[in-house]
Amino acid sequence: MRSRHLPRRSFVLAAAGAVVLGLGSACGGDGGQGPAARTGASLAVVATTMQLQDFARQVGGARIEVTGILGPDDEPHAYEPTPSDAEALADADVVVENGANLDEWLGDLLANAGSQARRVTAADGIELLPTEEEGFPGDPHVWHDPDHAKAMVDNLARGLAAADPEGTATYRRNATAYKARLDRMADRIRATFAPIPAGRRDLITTHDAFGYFVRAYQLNQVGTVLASVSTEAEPSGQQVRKLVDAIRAQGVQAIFTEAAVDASLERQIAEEAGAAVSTSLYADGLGPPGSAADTHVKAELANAEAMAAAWRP
Amino acid sequence: MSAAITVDGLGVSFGARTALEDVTFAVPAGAFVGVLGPNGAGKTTLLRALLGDVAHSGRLDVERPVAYVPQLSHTQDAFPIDALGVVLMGTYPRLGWWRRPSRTDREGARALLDRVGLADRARTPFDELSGGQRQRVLLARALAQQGRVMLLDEPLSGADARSRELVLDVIAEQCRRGGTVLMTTHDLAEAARVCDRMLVLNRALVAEGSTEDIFTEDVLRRAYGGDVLVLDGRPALIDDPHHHDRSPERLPWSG
Amino acid sequence: MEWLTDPWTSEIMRRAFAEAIVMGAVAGALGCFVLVRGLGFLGESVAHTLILGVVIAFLLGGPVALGAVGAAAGTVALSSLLAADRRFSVDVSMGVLLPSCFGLGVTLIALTDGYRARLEDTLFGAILGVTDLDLALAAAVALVAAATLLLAGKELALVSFDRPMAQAMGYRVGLLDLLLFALVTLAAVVALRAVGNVLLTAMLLGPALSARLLTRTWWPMVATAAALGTLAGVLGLYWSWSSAVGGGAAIVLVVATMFVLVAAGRAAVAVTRVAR
Repeated sequence: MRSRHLPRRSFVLAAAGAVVLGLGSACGGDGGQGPAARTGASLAVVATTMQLQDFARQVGGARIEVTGILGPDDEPHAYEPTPSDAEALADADVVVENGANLDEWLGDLLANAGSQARRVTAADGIELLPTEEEGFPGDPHVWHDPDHAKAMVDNLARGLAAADPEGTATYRRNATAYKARLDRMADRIRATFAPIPAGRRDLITTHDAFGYFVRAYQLNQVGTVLASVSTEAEPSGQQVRKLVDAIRAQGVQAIFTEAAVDASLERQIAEEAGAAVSTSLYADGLGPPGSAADTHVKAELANAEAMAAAWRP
Repeated sequence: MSAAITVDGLGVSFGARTALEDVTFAVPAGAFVGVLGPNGAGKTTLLRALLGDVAHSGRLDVERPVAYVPQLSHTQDAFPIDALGVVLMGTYPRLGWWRRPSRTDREGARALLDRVGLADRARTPFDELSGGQRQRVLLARALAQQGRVMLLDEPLSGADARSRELVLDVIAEQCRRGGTVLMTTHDLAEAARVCDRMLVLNRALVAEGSTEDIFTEDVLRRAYGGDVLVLDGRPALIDDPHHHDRSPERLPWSG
Repeated sequence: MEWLTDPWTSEIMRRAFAEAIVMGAVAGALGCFVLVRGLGFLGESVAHTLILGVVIAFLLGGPVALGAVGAAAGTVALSSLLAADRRFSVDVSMGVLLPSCFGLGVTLIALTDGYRARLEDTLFGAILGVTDLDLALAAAVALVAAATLLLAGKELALVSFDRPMAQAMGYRVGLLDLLLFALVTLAAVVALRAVGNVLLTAMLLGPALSARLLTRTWWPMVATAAALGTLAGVLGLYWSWSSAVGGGAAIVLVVATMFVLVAAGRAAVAVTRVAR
């Protein structure tokens, strides 16, 4: 998991953010849907992560207009909000956040935007896995566990219903339908992994985001050394050495990185350790709209397929 | 003997300002010429033009390479180099790219340092030398350039007696060997004493010739403005604005 | 003796060593010019402009190293154009251009999807994980630097020591300056990959500073700086191999320690001389 408190990154992004602010809101809210025109009596819902944006659309249907904040390549941990985000929040009826400190930046933004929105925390009531990252009460990537995803959907439905009581029945209905889809997704994922012996299901990723996924589908998380190697300021020779040794010792087949990350070090580590590199996991976000992984279900299936493909003998 | 330096209608301007205007003169080989004139007269500009350092109109004919000893050295103090190294730099244009100074070059440089009385300072860092010593090193560097023509900008001003003697000695030797030396100065008395010929500049060439030709009231007035006093029929320069502490000089007067 | 040979068993480390050795020598040697001409800002500014090239390379999907070279070439070319107008000296024009490029680069980063992942690399270097292209680039830069110093080393020294005299001697000092800046820029490109934007100036100036205290004359200083840079590269990587200190950071820390030791050593010698 990337550290939120990397001061140097924040400094540079703050500097960049200052410039971008000057350039105005045309650039803000990249991958999320732009502020939608309010049509009739629909509820204005702002959702932080792409998964939540997806859930919200599924549950809310035609009764709501969803505006997203994070885009395909934004990092929830260190996101710097833009003026258009503030604008969207100011107009929102409901704000859906992940919780567990993943969207810690939201609090100030809501206050500054003068938002009257009702706040829905999707991860409410979900028991978190422990995490080594500072600043987090637990691992916030809860959506990767299908059961947790269902709980999030329920929280969402309740929240929407509280803001829009007339739509309660609709929300409940949509939620139930979507939860069934999540169940089918989970079944398919299990089926994908079934042929692969338990001993080969070793997951090393650049990003400590798959703790729940690993537990839900009975995979092996081989440490988080790779995270420090790839996302912190600079790996040390010792870290690289330990990782190579660990990969070799465990007989790991493949290292997984995320799409759009320059993976030259990961590739070299894999090569030295005799493993393959796969570069197509969706950890924090989803694919861009129109891509093969632009919904949560599609992204999870893609993740499973990428892993299985790497592990298949 | 063909002239070592021929200047014909030389003009130099910096933007709107005319520094030199229609200067024409010729200097034979082996001559020691003093270039006189008040500040701003264009003395340094003339030297720079002779070096080929400034754009000019008119014709310039100088036997290259031209060695040069500037008035102030604008050297980078942070650069680590000893006196010998500085002298050796004078050989670079001769050597061309790629080649490095040979042992012969180094021995020659040592000899030149000896010539200027700094043999024991060959290994002293340049920035640890005194002002006078630095000037002597630069003189040695100019000699290392082995130019037939040597230009010196105010080499005598501010120098101690020993340095002045040394400089004049070196110059005399150059001229004996057929070299040509041009020296700017505002020390009229000394110039009169040591130079064969003089050029008097005040943006234009006011006069050219021997001591007698130069030190007339008319020439001095035209060069220095109104600061000329005539005493007993002899003109004297008073109140030279650049040497406030000097009393009026008695100028040598032949006959 | 295993600790000595151990790192060399790792392909990743071997490549890192290769990069560090070349980079240390090039940055050390050329850093001497940066030091004596008071061009510390140049190293810093060049570092900043390289961000722009790196981002553009990323946007175009090309290798980051080439982006850095492209930015370097671009700014040297632009500076020479500016310098053709005699009102600007090359270092002034570069001093204006380069920070602007940095601003532009940072802006592009903010607007670019998916770039942040490697911002740390650009800022702090990633000597572990250097690609073949990086190594080839470093080797090429070293060759160019060596050839230039062999061909025009004394002229570059002359123009660094006494620019007016060089001009009086008939050298085209503007071109020589440009040549020097181009070399320094190339050195910065290589050092960028190894130690990153933030630490690049330390790599340029550190070995040169230490060498200045250890030598009396110019070429011994350049050679010493190159040697110290290389030594720091090797020692730093050994340190990183057996600790949690990142590769580039370790190298720069060794550079800094070297300087402190040399300076303290000289002070101690001076004090004992006085005491006698």
